Amino acid sequence: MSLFRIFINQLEEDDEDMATSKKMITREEWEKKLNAVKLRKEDMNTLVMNFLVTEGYVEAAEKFQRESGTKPEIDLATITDRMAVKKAVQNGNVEDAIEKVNDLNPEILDTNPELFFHLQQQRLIELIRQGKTEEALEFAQEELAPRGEENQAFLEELEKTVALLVFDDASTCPVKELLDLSHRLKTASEVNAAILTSQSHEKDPKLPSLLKMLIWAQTQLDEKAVYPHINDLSTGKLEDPSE
Amino acid sequence: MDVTGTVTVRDAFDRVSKKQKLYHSVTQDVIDLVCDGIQDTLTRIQLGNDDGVEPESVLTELRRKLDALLPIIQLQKSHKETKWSLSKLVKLLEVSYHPDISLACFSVDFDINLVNKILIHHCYREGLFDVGDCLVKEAGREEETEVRSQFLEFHQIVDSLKLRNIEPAMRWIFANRGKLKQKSSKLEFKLLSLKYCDILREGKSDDALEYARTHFTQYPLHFKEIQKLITCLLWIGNFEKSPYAEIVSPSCWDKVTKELIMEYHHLLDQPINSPLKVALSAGYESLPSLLKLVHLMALTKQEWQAMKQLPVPLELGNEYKFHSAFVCPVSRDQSSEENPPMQLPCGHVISKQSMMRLSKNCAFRTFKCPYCPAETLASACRQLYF
Repeated sequence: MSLFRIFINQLEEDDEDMATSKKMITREEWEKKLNAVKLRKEDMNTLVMNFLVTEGYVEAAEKFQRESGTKPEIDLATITDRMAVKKAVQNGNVEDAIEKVNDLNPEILDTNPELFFHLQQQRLIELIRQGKTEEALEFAQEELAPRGEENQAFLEELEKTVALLVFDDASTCPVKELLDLSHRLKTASEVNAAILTSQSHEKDPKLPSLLKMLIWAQTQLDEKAVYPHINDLSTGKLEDPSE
Repeated sequence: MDVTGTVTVRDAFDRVSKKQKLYHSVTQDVIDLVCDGIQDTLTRIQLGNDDGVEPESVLTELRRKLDALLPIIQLQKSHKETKWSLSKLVKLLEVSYHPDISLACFSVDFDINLVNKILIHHCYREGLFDVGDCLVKEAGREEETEVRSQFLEFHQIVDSLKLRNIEPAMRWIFANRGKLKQKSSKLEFKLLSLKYCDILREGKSDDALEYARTHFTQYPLHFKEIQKLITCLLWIGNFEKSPYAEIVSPSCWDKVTKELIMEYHHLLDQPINSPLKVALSAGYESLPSLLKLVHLMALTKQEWQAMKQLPVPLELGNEYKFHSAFVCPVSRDQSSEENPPMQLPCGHVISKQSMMRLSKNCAFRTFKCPYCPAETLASACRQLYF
């Protein structure tokens, strides 16, 4: 990112000379400046390991550690437990997930009532999905209704969830997105973040943040210069400006 | 009547009541004493027959004893006091209340057909169909059959709702669905919600859920209400403490019934209250002011009849205000079709007759607005419609 900062500083100095047009930077000049930036291989490896660990790719992290010698920030064994929880939620086994979370750390759910409510909500959704109406009502009465009485926001979410019972054809239900697998993923991510927080680990990987910063920096630089762009992050290929 | 008069009359009445109770008590005591004396004398006479005592001497003794009681004097005294209090009350009543309210009567030439129509409609509105039918026959107004069938249906619907039966109401709603939809009526969904809540209160969650699946899925616009109604299932048997106590309350039947009554009359383009009832209520409320007016002005019958306009306004509640009427600030006349309100270019409003007088009947002569310094022409004024 310092490269962009250097460029911006230079352009500000050149503004007085050519105020009527943007500075033109050729591909050769751009690549020459890029090559001048020093990136340590260790930093790159640390970045990749951070991503693998945060997203829970245990096997990949282990192999990467062996091949590159980069040490993970936390014990890889804890990742296995976290991923088991996440997988349980994604598969709809919420009861199992809650047991696993409490095995990891009993305080996670106690100190996070919103997360606990969402897990219970997801469990209700799974019961409704399986057509177990009586069981769903019983569960909602015992576990969710008392929390709804204490918290208006929880009550509103509960109302949306219970309404699923009325629509046999889920496609006509206004809140049918609750039955999507994406809602499972959303709940799973929420659990994952809470576990990471409880382990004093950042809950988001650094790599996406860096990519966002890259896009932001390019947007800023567009106002002052014309230069080769990275449009496709997945390839990182430099593309010549359309002008 | 003013409050002071009412309080005074009540005090006088209480005093009479108290005197009457005392009079009753005194009278009872005197009579008891007399009876005891007589009874004692009879006993002694019977005993005396065996001992050879003369009955005459016993009777003489009784007479002496009764004379000592002076019962007549005591009764007269109490009666006099009560009578005095009562006559005082009568005087107060004569001062505070009008025994003859016909003093405020004003002869009006009624349109007999209109009166008959009002009475017939009133009977049908109140559900007195036999009386209404009889009146229709005698007055020869057979054209009122449509009104009859309308209010017959109305009473069937309302009576059924009191029994928690929504079938007649739903039939009416389906028959008028297009019009009700234009009015954004929510009656249809609300009635179904009432039935659903009845099932909930009976504690039958399976039946309630089945009812909801059958009926609620057709009302996507009411999804927020549906969410709350379904969530009520979680509080079956314990609604009083739930966030939805009000939703499930049986008092919702009364609310929805009132709402239906309003919408039914709106659809018929009829007022909610019977015109006869409104007229009587307004008259009842105005009567004290009119009686006081007649009394204060000491009007004779002829003067009262000749009066075209009351010298004081009558204050009625907002429920008796139906249409706006303009009163000219210059002439104090109420506007009418012949004398409509006219707006001057400056924005002030006066009656047409006042405008003509001010402009001296000339459309092109300027005159000054009575309220502000602006000058205007009669031809520049525009009639107002309420």
